[in-house]
Amino acid sequence: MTCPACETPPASGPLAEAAVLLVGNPNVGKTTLFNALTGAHQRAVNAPGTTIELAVGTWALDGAEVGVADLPGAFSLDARSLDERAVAEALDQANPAAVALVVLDGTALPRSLYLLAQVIDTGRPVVGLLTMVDVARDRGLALDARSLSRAAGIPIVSADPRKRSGLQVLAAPVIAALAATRVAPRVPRVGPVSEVDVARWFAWVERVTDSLPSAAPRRTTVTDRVDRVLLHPWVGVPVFLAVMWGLFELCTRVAGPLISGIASFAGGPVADSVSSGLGWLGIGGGWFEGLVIDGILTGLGVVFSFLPLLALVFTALGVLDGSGYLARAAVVADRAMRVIGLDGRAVLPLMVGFGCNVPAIEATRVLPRARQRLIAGLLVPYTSCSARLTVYLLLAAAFFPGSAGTVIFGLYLTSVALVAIGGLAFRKLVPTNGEPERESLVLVLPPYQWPDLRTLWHSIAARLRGFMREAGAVIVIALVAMWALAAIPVRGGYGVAEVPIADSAFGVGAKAAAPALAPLGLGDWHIAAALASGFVAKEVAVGALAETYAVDGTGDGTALATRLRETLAETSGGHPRAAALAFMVFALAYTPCLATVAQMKRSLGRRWTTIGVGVQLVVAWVLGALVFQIARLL
Amino acid sequence: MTAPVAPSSFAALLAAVGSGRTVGAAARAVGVSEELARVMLDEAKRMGLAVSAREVCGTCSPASASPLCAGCPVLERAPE
Repeated sequence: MTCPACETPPASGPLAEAAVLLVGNPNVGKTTLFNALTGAHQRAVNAPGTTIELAVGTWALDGAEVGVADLPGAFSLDARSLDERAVAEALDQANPAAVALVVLDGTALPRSLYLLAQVIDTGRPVVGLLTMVDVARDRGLALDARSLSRAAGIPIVSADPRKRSGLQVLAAPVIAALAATRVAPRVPRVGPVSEVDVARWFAWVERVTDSLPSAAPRRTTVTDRVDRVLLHPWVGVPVFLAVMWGLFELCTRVAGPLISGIASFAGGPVADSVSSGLGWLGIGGGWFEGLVIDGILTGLGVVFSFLPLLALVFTALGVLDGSGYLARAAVVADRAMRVIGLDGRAVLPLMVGFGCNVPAIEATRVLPRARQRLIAGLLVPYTSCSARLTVYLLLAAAFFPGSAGTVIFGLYLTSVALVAIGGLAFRKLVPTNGEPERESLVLVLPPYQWPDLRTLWHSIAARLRGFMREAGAVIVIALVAMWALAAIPVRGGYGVAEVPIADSAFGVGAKAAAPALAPLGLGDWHIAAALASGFVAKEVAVGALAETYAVDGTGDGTALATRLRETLAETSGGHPRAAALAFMVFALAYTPCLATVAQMKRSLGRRWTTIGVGVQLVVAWVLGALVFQIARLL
Repeated sequence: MTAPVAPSSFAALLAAVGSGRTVGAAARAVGVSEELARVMLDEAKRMGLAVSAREVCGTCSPASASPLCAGCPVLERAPE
């Protein structure tokens, strides 16, 4: 095969090796096509000059390994959003001989053709892949790739990306296009386009569509009939709420036992085996065993315990997305989400967040715009995940025994209020970077279909690998650091890993930090240590309280509750219930856990993660202080 | 790609919508499919050439005389 783009890549950067660039509107099956072409041979890279992630892989084409890049979905190359800018820059900066393979949705042809017109104008060799022909036929549109190819003046073939067997039709036109010589670009480089160009592109779309066989009267499809129910205001909303409730249950009831099981397995049989192994090697006992078991193994246990939860949530979201329901859910929730500057699709990560924040941050990837992903990612930590419930239950039972349920319900309402207020604030704080601050939800609803299991599997596997590689490393390193702080003696002449927590670097640090919590009625080192441990995971906070009070945390909690009541009565100046409320509000608003921070860093980048965590701490402190100061007057 | 037929359907559609026609009526007047008209209007909105009436209504008051507010839901008039 003659392939200038495969042999001598003159471009640099992440797309230098890509000889084929997949371009298309959102929801046209581009990623399904990418997975079908590349199989498992793919990895994630950042688009040139951005933090927008795109996948690159290799396609075995006519005996050669051809690089393929899956660019973000875009309606236009107008570069008014970060995603569109990423696509425009990729087309501008990638290997000049690389072919643009444009996926055209037969059920929304004018929209696809408008993007195709702009891609053709870049001067790159272009090949079109017409999809959804069967669905278009059901709607009375008699499409055929040959007529379309003749009208558009580029090679266009028809295939269903979900059926790998039909994709061989792509080989010949792509090979021919790879061998073609690039013509000079006819449009300006990346940036807003002119009305003249837009009018010219639409005129071309009009001519192409006019030359196609005229559409027969549209028949009512199964999708139309189902949508009459699912998009009906009185039925659609309850169905949507039921789906969201199902997602929440998945994160708590179904995944909860799996998480506990893996954590117990890591902390029990695995830890015992490792301890025995170290003893057999003659390096057991002492600080080294503490480091391996309490630091590294605990960290790995946390990472692995998240895998079943993530796999379950990604599968559920993948099925919802692949079936076409995700887009409907977005339409139903759009009005409520628009109030806080997000579109309807943001409701999914926010609902998932009430189960667990870690998959919720990952789920922000369903949002089409980088700014919306950022805002939603910053809001997710304010959704009250199920782990915080352990803190609420301890404090509510100890301080509000007659009305614990009402107090906990109030905390969930506070969580919703924080998300709404945070959304309004982040709308002002997060720069638009040229993206429209508000825009209509332009969603081309895909027809209902069975999710493609192979695509689903690739997507889940890639996301789990990403979590293990990036977030996993952060979690293990941070837990080792926490272990080290608790193992290093600062006073008392103890040995490493033999020191009581009060005399460790961690305990001394907690004592130093305690006065900062005095305005919240919580100026005590036991509380400071528990909140610092809660930074690792909220479940750990209760265990840390038990440990610092030297109370057996496996009991019914009575002894711990008694000690806690005594402490808060002292630190609050006689208003322990006000201090308990401040404790719970602080636990709600500050950083959920280390895994969430690691996931934020992966999805939002280091800078916004630092800002997000900083804002959470400030909000938690201010809110806690307000609650305490007001509640003690009541 | 060859030069557009003048005057462009895009400009004609914007003019038709600007004169108060609905999307369907404007599409029929210009002679393009309603689906293509919607794509054109989405692009016009992205370029800042058109604004959705639904979004404008949020800025309308009962006393507003702006023609943009004429199509908004009836607003309760404040007591005089």
